[in-house]
Amino acid sequence: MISLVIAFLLFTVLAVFVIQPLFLRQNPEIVDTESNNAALKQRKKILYRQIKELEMDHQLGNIQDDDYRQARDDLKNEVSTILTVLNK
Amino acid sequence: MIPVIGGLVLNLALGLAIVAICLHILYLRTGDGRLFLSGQRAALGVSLLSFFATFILVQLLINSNFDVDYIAHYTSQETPLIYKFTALWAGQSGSLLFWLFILSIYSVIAILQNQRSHLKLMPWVMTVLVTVQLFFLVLVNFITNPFAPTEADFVVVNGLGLNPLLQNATMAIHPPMLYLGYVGFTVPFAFSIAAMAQKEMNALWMRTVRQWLLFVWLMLSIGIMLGGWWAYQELGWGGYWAWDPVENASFMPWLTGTALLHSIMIQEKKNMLKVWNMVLIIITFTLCIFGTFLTRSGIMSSVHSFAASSLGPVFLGFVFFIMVASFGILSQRMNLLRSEKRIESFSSRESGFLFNNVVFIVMCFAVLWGTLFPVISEAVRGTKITVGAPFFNQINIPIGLVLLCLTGVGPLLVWRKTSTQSFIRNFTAPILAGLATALVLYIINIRGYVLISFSLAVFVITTIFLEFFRGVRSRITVHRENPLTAFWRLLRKNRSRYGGYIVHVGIVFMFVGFTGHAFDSEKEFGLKTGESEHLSGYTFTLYNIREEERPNHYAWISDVQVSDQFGKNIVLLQPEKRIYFHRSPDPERRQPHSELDIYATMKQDIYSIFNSIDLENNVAYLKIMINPLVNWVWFGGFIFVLGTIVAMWPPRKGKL
Repeated sequence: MISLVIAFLLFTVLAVFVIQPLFLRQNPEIVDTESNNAALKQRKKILYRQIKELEMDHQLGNIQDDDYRQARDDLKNEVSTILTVLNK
Repeated sequence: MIPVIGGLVLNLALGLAIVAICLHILYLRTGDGRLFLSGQRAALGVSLLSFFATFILVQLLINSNFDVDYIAHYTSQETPLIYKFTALWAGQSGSLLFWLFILSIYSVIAILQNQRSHLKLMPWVMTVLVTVQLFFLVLVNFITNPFAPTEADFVVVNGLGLNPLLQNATMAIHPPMLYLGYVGFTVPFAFSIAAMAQKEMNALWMRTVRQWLLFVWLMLSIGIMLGGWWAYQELGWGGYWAWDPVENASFMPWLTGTALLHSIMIQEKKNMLKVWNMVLIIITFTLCIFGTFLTRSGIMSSVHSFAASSLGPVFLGFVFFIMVASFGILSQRMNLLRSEKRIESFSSRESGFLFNNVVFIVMCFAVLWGTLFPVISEAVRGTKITVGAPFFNQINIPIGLVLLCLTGVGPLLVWRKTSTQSFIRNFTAPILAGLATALVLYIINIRGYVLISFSLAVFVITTIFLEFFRGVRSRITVHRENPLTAFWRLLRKNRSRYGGYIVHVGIVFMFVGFTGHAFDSEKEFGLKTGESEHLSGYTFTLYNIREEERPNHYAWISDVQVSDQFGKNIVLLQPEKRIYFHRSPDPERRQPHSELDIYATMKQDIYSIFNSIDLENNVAYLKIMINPLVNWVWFGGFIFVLGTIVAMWPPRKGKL
């Protein structure tokens, strides 16, 4: 009997906790703090990191000058495209 | 009363899980924020109730409430407190509740961490997480309830007690770590399904999944290594890996998870292999559920499969559901996931990673095939054909050596294309070092896989050493730093890259340890007090046999003095023969157990087992094994963990 009472109390507390938002008068806006551009900013960050790694590989002699320049230009082009979109 | 409350809490959690799923589906259809908040709270409620149910079971275990069948089966009055607690995951229903408990921890973290982010994905993430929780709630409510009362029609005054093999400190850590890994893969899986469902395949989603993956992969790796450590310290056969189905069950998701960790880097950097990564996430999660099925259904006979059960069809049904639902949604999103880029050169880092992925998958398939072969053969031909360690070794040793080689080759390849000059410059010294090692080994009459393994180990270590050396030298030249500062800053500013190299060093050490197995030797003999035996240049003298009664067992301890070929004493080994439940009036219940004693150095382990005792003639029957290089495996494991921690350490805010 006591166990049933405890279970009932638990059920009541949980039910109130779960259904309370359903009684809000206004429909709450579900807002994502990560802006619409967050994915682009993340991509920009990844590209910057890749440029840094590329420079390091070049410094270590793992990549030849021509390949380095081409890869760096490609990465920079992608970054500038992203920056253009972000600045609009 | 308390067990009844435990059962009711599980009932409530099941009901609330269904409510949570319905609320999220309604939110996805209507977009009403109230449904989202309510669904989020319901998902949290399911986890809170699961915590509560687990705490109730722990409390019952600690208080030895033998009215509950599970408690009576896995503990006794004599069981030490710590092992009463660890009995939570010793049996089927307890371990399934523990699965649910860990998943609930992860769910709460995922929900609280993303209260203001990934809000487009979160309804789906929560739906997937709660669906998996619901599956385990169905199991613990209807199939194997941990709160079920004992079936005895008399008062149970004492329980059967915990299997002595599980009464080991490592067993208090190994299963939770393994579960943290296994269960943790649910979160990346949930995010992947959510991303596909919401057509949101961007870099943000990838960042979240990668962080989770690294953590759960580390936990799984530690769990597997601790399992090997436990087997070596406790089971008394002198090895740490037996290709037992349960070991394989944890190894398979580790293999696909490792492949994923590599290929996800290509997606992050090159926006390629998106479909492949989704496939890997789905397979890894499915293998985790499948592994739990192998462990708990009793379909395989192994030291871990303690209880046969009726879980099989339900588990297989769930595995089938996951595969159909996941690959179904994947097929719908193929167009979105296809990459426009192609791998430009065979000698690029991308192709190196892809090749490594293929090798990991081949290894996983070989392990899966070997694990399921007995079941398949029994189903098809009616005869169970067991596939033993020789099969797994024959297939996996060459594959493992290819992986070891790739560990050295991969980091020296650059993205897009490695030029011939770079290739020659980076590989000349490591190849020469490897060949020199091979030549020396050949001269001292070492051949076959041992020669290849040691040579590759030297090759890989040289490549990694050169990478560190060049990095430090470059910092010394460019930034005018002293070597120590240069090393520290190199590591700190490139954690992911150099952390990965440290992991590879750990792998090399482990391979050296594995290779040492080729030089194992052993001998079994009986000794009276004062007598001696010899093995591999060591003399083993039995000084004494002592007896001791301890709280939960009775022990005979043999004092074996080990001396070298010059007569110098090295160590006193004290292996024990124990009888657990020795006070039980029923002789059937008394359980013998051999507690080992090991003298471990980096060169070799002297491994002693007290097999049996002849009390009439006072003879101790011992088994001694000389296991070379085993400590390299454990030391490699430490380095491996250290490297992973370095790689996953978050950058300071604002830094790349």
